[in-house]
Amino acid sequence: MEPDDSVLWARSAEGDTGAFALLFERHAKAIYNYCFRRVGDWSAAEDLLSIVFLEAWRRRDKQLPPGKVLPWLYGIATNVVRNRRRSERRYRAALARVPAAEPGADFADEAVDRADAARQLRHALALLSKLPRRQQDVFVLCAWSGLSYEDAAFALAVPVGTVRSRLARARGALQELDRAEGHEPTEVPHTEETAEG
Amino acid sequence: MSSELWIPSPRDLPSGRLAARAQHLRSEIGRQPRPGAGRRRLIAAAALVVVTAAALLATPAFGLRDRIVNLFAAEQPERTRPPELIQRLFENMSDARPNESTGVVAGKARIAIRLAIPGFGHKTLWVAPTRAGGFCSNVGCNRTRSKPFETQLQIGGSTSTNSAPVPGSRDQTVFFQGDTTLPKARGIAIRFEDGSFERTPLVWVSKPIDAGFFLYLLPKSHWKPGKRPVAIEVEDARGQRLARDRVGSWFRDAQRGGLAPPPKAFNRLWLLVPFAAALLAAAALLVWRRQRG
Repeated sequence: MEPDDSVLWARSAEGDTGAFALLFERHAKAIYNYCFRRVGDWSAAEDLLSIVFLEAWRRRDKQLPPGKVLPWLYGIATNVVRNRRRSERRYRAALARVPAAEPGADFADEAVDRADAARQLRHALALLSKLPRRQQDVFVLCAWSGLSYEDAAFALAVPVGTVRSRLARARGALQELDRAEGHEPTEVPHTEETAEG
Repeated sequence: MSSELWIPSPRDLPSGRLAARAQHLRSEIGRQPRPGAGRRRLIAAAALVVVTAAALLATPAFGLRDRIVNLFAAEQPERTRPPELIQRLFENMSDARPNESTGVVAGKARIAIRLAIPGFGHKTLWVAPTRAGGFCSNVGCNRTRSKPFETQLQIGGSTSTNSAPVPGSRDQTVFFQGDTTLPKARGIAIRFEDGSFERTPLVWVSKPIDAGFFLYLLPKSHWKPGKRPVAIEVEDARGQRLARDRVGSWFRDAQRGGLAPPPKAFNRLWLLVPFAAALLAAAALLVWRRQRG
């Protein structure tokens, strides 16, 4: 049985690089997709993923409540995306040491597929960018990444009530924007299954 | 969700990239220092800045404001019991109002400024509080703190503070001294006829005196017409003028009355003129005698 996140985090805090690598493998996909959904670029998301975990390692003396490792990583990712230029500057030397990608057999198909996904996301991001930044953060964490209100509140270091109100305002604003672009008013789906406050 | 907000489903990293990034992460975290090391350094640096700033901000409360700035510029005043002579000096001071005592507490006199001046000796500015909340100094009394800025011209002898000035002599020492109660005062500027100026520190003496004092030795280069002092100004921390006292006429009057140094020094080369004339006369006499025979 694999140790849970809190155990791995505690071991990481003591300098156990193996434990931290396990955390990386466990949550890389979630953070990678979160970064992609914030910037709309797969390649950039890959670099941001590395930055998020390098930043987490740098701050490994942080005491985290049980079950809050992933929300905390989301919080770091939110800050890294927000201060993307500064983050990339800080880790420029580290990013320069990332080994180059080796094309696989199905590389061409995969590249086309990913380019298509990026194009589809770009429109959603254009609409989302019209919201205030704080509402964007809450919306992407709760609606797109499936964090609960409580976890999103932990990630953003704000009260749960603030998450609820920002999310409600973001949904309302997105529906208004959508309607203004001539689309039929459609219900923005609830994320109650995952976003429980 | 609206079709316009459809987003692609989560994907794994491209094949091989997760392993590559994991390997990269392992190698990078091996290079990083212990967590908090940078932050601890930052905290230590911030604490140092805060302590230094607090110390500098607290200095006015101890009457040390400009003494820190002036640490190497002048002799530091000593906290000594006032000598009997100084106490008598203060006790004999009179207020501007007739028949009213200054109320000076002579026993609490202290040194505000003490300068060592080559060829003169020590110049000391004593200050003492008054019972009415003001103070007296060598400059005079500001018994109730009613005067925000006071200046005084002093002309001293060549060897000691007790020697009488010789009229017309250049072997004299000229001072400007004064005080201010303006709370924003931070320095003194002396302005000259040619538009130039010099700054001199203001030494702030703590409560109950709570006033700034200065003592400025006027260089001989500023005794000449065109370069003489015209005004003394009190400045705030940004160099903005708070008060001004015109002193030009005092200095010019003192020069005219012979109490201050003359504007121009006697050129000793003129002593050669009679000697040269005698030589010429002797030479002419010699030539005349040879011509005669």
